[in-house]
Amino acid sequence: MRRGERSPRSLTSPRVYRPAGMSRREVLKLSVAGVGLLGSPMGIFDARPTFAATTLTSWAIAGPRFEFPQRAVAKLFSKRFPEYNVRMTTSGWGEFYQKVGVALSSGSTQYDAIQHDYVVVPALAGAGWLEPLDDYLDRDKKFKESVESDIPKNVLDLYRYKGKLYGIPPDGNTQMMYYRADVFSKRGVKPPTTWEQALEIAKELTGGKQYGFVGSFRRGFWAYLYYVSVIRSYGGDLHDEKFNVKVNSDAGFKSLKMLHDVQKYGDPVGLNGTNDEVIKSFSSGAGVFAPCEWGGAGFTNRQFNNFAEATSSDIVPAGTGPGAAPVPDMGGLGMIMPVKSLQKEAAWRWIKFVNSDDPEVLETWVKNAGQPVRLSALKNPKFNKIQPFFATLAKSLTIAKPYGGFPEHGAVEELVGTEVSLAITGQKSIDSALKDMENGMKDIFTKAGYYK
Amino acid sequence: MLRTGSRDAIVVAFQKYTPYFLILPSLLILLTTVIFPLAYSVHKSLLYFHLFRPDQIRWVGLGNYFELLTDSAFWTSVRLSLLFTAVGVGFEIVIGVLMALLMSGHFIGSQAIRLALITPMLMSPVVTGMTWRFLYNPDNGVINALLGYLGISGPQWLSDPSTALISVIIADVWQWTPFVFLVVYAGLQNIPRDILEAAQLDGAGYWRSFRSVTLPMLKPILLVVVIIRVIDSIKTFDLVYVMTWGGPGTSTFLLAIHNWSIGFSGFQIGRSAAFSYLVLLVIMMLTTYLTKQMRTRVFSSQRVV
Amino acid sequence: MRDSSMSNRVILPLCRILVLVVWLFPLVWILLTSFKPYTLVASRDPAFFFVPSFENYISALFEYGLYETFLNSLVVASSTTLVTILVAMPAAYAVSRIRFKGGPQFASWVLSIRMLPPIAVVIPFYLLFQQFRLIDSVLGLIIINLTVTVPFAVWILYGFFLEVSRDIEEAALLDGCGPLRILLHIFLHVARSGIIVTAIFSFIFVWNEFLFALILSDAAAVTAPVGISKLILPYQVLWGQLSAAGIMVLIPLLAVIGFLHRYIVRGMTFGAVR
Repeated sequence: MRRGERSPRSLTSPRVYRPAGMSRREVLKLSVAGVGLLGSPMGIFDARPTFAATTLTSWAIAGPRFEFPQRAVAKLFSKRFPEYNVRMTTSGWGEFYQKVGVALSSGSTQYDAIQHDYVVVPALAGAGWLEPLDDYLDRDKKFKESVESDIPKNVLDLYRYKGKLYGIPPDGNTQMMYYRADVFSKRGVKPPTTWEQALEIAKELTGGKQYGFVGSFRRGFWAYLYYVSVIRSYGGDLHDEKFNVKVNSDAGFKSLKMLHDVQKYGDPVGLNGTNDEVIKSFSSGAGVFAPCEWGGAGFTNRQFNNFAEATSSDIVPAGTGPGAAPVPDMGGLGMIMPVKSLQKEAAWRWIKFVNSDDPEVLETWVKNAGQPVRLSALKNPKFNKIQPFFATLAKSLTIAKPYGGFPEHGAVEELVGTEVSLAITGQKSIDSALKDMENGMKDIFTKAGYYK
Repeated sequence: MLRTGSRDAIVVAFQKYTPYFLILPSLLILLTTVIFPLAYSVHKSLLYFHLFRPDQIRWVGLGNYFELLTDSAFWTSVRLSLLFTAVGVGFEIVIGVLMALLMSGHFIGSQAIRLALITPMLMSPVVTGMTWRFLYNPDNGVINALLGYLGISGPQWLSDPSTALISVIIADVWQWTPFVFLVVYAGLQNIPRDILEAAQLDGAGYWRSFRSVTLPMLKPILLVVVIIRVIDSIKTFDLVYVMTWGGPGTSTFLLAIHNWSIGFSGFQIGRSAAFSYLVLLVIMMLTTYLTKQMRTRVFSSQRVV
Repeated sequence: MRDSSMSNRVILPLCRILVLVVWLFPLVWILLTSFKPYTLVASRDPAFFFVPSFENYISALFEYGLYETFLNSLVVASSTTLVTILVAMPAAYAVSRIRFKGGPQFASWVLSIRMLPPIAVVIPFYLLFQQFRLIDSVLGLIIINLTVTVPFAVWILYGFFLEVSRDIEEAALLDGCGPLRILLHIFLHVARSGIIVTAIFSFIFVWNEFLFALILSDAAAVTAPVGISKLILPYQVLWGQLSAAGIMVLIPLLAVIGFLHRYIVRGMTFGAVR
């Protein structure tokens, strides 16, 4: 979010392309005549207009962290390789997954590289819409080695499907614990390592206009992500790799009950809260402890949190019982290449450049609100000064566990997210919420043919 | 070059086919654009079709429809949407009429004030939803802060399952009451003064003359407004999409967000298409009922819609 | 009568002020927010007094690229409105004035299109537009918006045209005028308010339309509501920029409404009052 570094024009660059070479005036004329649709030639399955051969299209989520670092690195890319131009296209986060799904399923040739969530990558690869990157990677031993040694193995593996690599991540994220260090030290409280301690802290610190707990429990996506982390911290899981549902278990019960109990002391905003509400709770001084929120510059950035300097980060708490451990959810978005791309060589050059360990590229990435996944970058003291949570992120990445990667994951997300929200708000008992989750998941997996 | 006879034939033909020529442009635009999508979605509604599983596509007939109709979650959404529509549109009509009565006539700044009052309906629903989410925030939203200055501890609005739906309705009423206000205000201007004056000369009080003269004359436009608002209200999407995502729990899980959750979070395209047609059915039943009311009660002589 | 003058002097103005305050407060609040730095936006106590800054406006327009989206919205909304009126007027005339086979069916079919949830057709529209190379083009957005505005306009104009007295029309018919000339010379004149209201509502609808524009635009043809949705980031909402954008997106509509205010009040009855 460094305003000075991007001139306004860079976002509306002169290279902005017009579909099929149409100017607005022409479009107007056409529309008034009302022809357009009838006049277009039929049966052409290619929406791409004729570009100069070197312009490739890269698609990212709008805003800091994804779009901004890519735009900055794209400039550097064109400077180093004048034969290439990168045209950025962006979508809002809330609609990005839907747009990519529709575009790829329709066989669009419009896109050469997409920075997409690992959660969706295996599903897209399984449908045959992505280009495997192994052959490209094998061509460049030095780059391959730097990718495999510097990016944590568990992160790189997220982009593998049936043994093939479909994406390389320039970005990584996990859930982390955020707390107000000043409030904690004044009350003599230490950041907890277990959820039981977290509950005690919530009790201890809640009072007046202050809440000792705040969590993002909005129905759907948010509640689901929170619960996945906590049930795993207790040694449980929603289901195993063979899709045998095991949510209705001891760990499932204990973790859901914990969230229900701790929210009693929590900031009520969390019941309809996204990460934004939680950061705003911190910023207004109401919330002082958020044990399991997503990383990102929000909490520790003066621009978004009035108490940014006093806010520290750590890894998430563990549960109790057999198999208990701190298990944050894995996040992060990698560069993938649609199989229908018409300029795969150029796309590969770009993907490689974005992921390179070149110090200038990494610095550009971090300075433009990017969040690298290369451990060398996360541990770099220079970058730690820019983003104080990077050190925790490096620690957290190695213990984080992914969830998803199968096509029906979105349906599970909606189901679990609804039931968790019902249980935490007390509209449903924990037992029946778990039962409904179990039955719902079994239904989804049966229809998808996983039990044949 | 044409002989008169054939020219007459053309004129006759033209007159016979005139209405068809007149509707041709709109028919052409609608047919060419809508037919394929309609056929596509009807077809998909009969399939098990997950966008990411091209290998799994299979014919299920009316299975998607039956499944939805036997799913209690679907009926919860129907109930919530009907409640949302009834309460929301009800308040919009009542407040809109009162507002129009209050704001008609000449007073200081009357033109500017009326203009200002219709601003909310011009706002994009996404912005409206975000604005209200911002105002409702219990930590630093301005509503609870102002209530706090008055010594009232405000409700949790969107965070509380028991107040979430009404909070969304308030936002909807805020946005669309101005629409009702505008239409009713225009209707009031069209009521001939002499009728009102005659009623007042007869000694009818304000309330009596409102009930016996103004309201009956407003009834036709009120019904038009109700139909427009009911169609749009059942389809309400953007507001809940940004305010609550249907939560907490399922307290604001209206039909449109439910459909989005199936089709665009779960990518179950077949099920979502079936869902859309069921929603269409609900809307059609409601509007048929309302237009029937309109025909029999209001325009006994006129053909409407 | 004394009572009513008392109420006219005191109670009515008080009520008016109350209604005005309640209805305008949210607008005033986002106007204030649009001039605040983020730290004030997210502080506990609402800030009423502060040094205003235009940073949010500049950031929204240029850093987040809303400038281009406004131009697109303007082109899409105005051309759609124009085509809508041109196309819907003859159709509305036909169904309101001429008895012909299929007329009522056409009218109810048109209305049913408006009832269809857009989510059902957005994916097939994507596939269709891909065939015709219309993805991410202003023309594509105009066409898809027509599918919503034309039914709406036919329906509303139908009401207005019923209102037009048959006498003038019959005189014109006797003079040998064709339906198109009647439409241009009489209806365009007599039903002017109604046509303007229909146009304004089409314009507002297209200006604020979100779902179609979201799926069918990409980079070059992004409209304002889609651009605004990009201010909702994964982990934060840029409330300052969002408020600024919300204010800016209102300005063209307010200008149109203010300019055509006269016609609106006359035309807002949808032809339902005779």
